[in-house]
Amino acid sequence: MAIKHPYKAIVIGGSAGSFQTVLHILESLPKNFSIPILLTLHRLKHVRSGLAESVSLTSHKPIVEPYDKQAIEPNTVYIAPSNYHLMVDDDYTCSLSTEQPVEFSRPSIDVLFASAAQVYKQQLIAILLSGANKDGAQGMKIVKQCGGTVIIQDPSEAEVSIMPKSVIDIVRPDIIMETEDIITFLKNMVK
Amino acid sequence: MHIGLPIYTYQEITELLHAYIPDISYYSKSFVERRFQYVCAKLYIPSIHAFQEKIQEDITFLDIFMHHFTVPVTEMFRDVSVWKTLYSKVLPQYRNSSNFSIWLPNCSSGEELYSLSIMLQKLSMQNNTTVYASHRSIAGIEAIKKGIYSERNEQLNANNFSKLQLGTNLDNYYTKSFNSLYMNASLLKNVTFMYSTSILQQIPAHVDVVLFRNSLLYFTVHMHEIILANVTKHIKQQGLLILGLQDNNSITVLHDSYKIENKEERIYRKK
Repeated sequence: MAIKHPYKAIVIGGSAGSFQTVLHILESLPKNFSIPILLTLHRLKHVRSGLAESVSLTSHKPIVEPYDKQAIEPNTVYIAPSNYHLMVDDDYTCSLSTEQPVEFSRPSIDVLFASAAQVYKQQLIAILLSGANKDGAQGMKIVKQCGGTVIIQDPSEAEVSIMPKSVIDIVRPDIIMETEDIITFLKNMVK
Repeated sequence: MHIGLPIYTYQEITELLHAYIPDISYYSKSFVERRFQYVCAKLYIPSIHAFQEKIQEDITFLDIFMHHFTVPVTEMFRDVSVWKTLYSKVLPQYRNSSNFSIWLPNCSSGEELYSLSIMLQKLSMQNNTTVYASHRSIAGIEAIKKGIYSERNEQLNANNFSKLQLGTNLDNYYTKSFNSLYMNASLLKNVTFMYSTSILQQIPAHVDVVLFRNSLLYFTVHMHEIILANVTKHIKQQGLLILGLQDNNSITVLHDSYKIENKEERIYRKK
């Protein structure tokens, strides 16, 4: 089936209250949804394993905590490893960093979104979900500046609305949707 | 950390810095762009031209720049399980060695060095061990020697340390005054600091163990091969290399010159 959409990558960020939403999105995507997904979820700093395993229980796709400079492949979900920032480099590889936390967070959603925005430009979709701090808002602003598509979970649906609301404070999202509509939007891309 | 579109291009930055930091091209493009801007903001340098003027009028500024350009570690005993393995399995192998040597090619802000030194002291191995600690900045070395750390990370460091279950508290290794922690000077008695102008220079002769965690992250893939080949030349046969948990896992030298000692903790034994 020919893919008509212009997108080359999706980045998703979330914190408190986002985990079940992420699982639901990933399990709902069809097998032919091959666009790579990069995921930064705020997580317990010193719990090294478990997140990728939990996500992989419900997803059809390989879930990877990437090594530094690992190539970004289609049909794969990349999760920021515990205590590392995850970024995208110009050569479409994952780049990791132990630089200072941003918005008290490492991994930081801002860091992932800002780097992916500069590489994928208008071919990027960024989705920000529930969360209890402002990490991700600056990243969304840069996604918008670079021509990417900015989607936030409807704050009225989000378990904790601070994170999606903080985007609205500094940039106009392209789409504000509830989870089921985000899933439909993504599914329609590969129909 | 700088979040935003780069104000200056990689080319502009490297053209400026190349005369002063010949190995600037060893670092990855994205790292150079964001780190240069981070350091400029930290040192109140408003523009690339101001940076140029500053570096021309005060040559010591270059050292200060490198001090901040180097990424700090931010916590002691980061990745507790690695330190547990070091304490219970790696270091005891060398307890009876008369001249055991460990090299930290990038001792950064010193937390890894102090973590290691605490373990060596606890294992009564300071007298038979030499620790070589390389650093790109004299200011960085002096800061580590002073051993003053903010109390901001005290709880985090103490939590990491308590998970090691060594039967002692971390605060036995420092004194606290005015929101700062002063590491015990005795921890560094067997440490030799080495100022190097490049990651490829000032390498000690054959060492038993190299602790090189999360430092390759900031270099190009091409340099990963070169740096690791160079490090490997200076590790004794059967010596150990310890990388960061998520460091590049596809480096040819790693697979050609080492066998895996501990996959989870990224410990490799030289063939």
